[in-house]
Amino acid sequence: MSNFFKNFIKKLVFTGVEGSFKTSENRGTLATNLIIIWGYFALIPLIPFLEANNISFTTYGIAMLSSACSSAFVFYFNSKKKYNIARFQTFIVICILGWNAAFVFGKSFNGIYYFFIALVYSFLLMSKLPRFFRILSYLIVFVSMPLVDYLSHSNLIPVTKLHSSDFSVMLLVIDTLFVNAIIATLLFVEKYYFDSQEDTLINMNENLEKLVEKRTALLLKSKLDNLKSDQIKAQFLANISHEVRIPVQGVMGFTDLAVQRIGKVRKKDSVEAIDIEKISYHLDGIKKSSDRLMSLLEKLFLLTREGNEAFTPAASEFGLSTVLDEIIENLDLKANDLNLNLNSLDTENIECYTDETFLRQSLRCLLENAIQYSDKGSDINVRVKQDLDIVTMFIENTGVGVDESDMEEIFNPFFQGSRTDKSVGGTGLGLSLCRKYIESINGEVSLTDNSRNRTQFTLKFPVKLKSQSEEHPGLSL
Amino acid sequence: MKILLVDDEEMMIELFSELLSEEGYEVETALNGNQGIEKYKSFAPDLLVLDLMMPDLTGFEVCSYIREQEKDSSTKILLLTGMGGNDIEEKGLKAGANGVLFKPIPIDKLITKISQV
Repeated sequence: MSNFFKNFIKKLVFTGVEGSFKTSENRGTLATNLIIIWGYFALIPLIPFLEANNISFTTYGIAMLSSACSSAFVFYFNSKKKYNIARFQTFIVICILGWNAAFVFGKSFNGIYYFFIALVYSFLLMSKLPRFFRILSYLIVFVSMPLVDYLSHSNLIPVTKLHSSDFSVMLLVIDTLFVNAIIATLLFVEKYYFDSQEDTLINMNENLEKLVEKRTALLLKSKLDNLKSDQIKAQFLANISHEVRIPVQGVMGFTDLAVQRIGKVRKKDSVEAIDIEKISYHLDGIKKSSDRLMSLLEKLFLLTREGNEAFTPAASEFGLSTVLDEIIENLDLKANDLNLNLNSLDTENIECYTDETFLRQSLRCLLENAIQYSDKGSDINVRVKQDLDIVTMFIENTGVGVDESDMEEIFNPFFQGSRTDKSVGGTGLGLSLCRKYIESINGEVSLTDNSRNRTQFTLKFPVKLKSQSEEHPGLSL
Repeated sequence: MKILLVDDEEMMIELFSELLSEEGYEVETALNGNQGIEKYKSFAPDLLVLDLMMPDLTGFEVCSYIREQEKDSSTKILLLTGMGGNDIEEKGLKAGANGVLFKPIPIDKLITKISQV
């Protein structure tokens, strides 16, 4: 309710000004409002004259107030900014002004004067507006005013002919109220009967505008998202191309070397045997390179595959610390290059029964990630803990860390955190693969500490992988 | 002629060092940027073949460092990178390199380029 009044007052005060001059409609509305405002107050200088005629200031004030009320209605509906209404209001206001003025001057009403106005405005309205009922209601006003005037000032209404100012004042008040009542009724009729269609249109329009705004915002957002994913794609392509170029260089180079060597021997046409050791060294290089290419392809293949069919676990028994030691040993060379210390702390050898390969892969992904993003000379620590059936592993390192906004994103394929220095390389696939691997043995991986430069990933998985039938006992029955 | 190879990929080092020594060059290798700068000082090569993406320093950094520190050295620098990008060549030349090559590169092309430089 208070909102309604707020809007009402806002409209009351601002409609005229705010209506701007952009359209002819608004110009019409603005003109009407100005007439309403200044029309009523233009009578104020006449107050001394009123008093001379024994019309008290207070009584006239009441008349003014009731007129003001009608103008408030006019203002309110004006806010719809409809040209027809504006014209109608102009007419009504001129009528009221003339009416009041006529009373104030103590002159009797001039019926012809009102008929003249009524005719002019009827003509105006009819020329523009096809709506029969609206015109009819206007005509009622036009006819009723002179009628009231005529009845009250002739002898047809049985009134005591006091010729006193009291009588005039009474008439003034009653007439004003009467006119206002008609205006109010008409406006309501306009609003709730005839304008319902227009209102529907306006509402539809407003809704449409809101919808357009909403859609535009959505579009902008998706455009931004696209831009972001475009950036991710571009970064990914740059990375992948680097990851491909190196092994391809290996295959190309070693092949060329081998071919050259064999060619040289042939050219000489000598009996000199081909240096098998050299050739096998080249072949070894080719093999390493093609293995690298293959593993990259496999990673890509795994990630792009729909569903998890590539990740069907096969459980076996193994000791966790053995696996961990092996991985660390494999990565030690890489870590030593960067002066990093790979440590596994307080590890008891937990006997696991789960998919060893998947666990190994996800651990490796996490450790490689830690190596890639660690500060030089820092420690990478792995801790293991067992709570009942759940094994928890913490992989901690000190380095650039992860941006708050990237914390979930880092597990998305191809994503690389915004703090990633372009020179570190990598495909952006590691963590997403890690997640896929660990999830396929019913485990989970998450970034659990991201304070200052410390980064801690937590890997959790059941020590004993339940087989499908054990998981859904209902199905096997 | 003395050539210093700097690359963090061991395989690349193996390949290029073999290739270049076959061609009769005297080859030294380094596995990262800092090591490369040290070796540069002790070995004083005629040609430096630099990778761009390395864990400690990028090839650009090594290149501009050497150019700044040893203004009157006659060492030529070739950047040999696995990165692809339009601005890399421009950046490399700006850092003071005499040429920028992209992996994968056929070995005969590499040899030609090196002998040109």
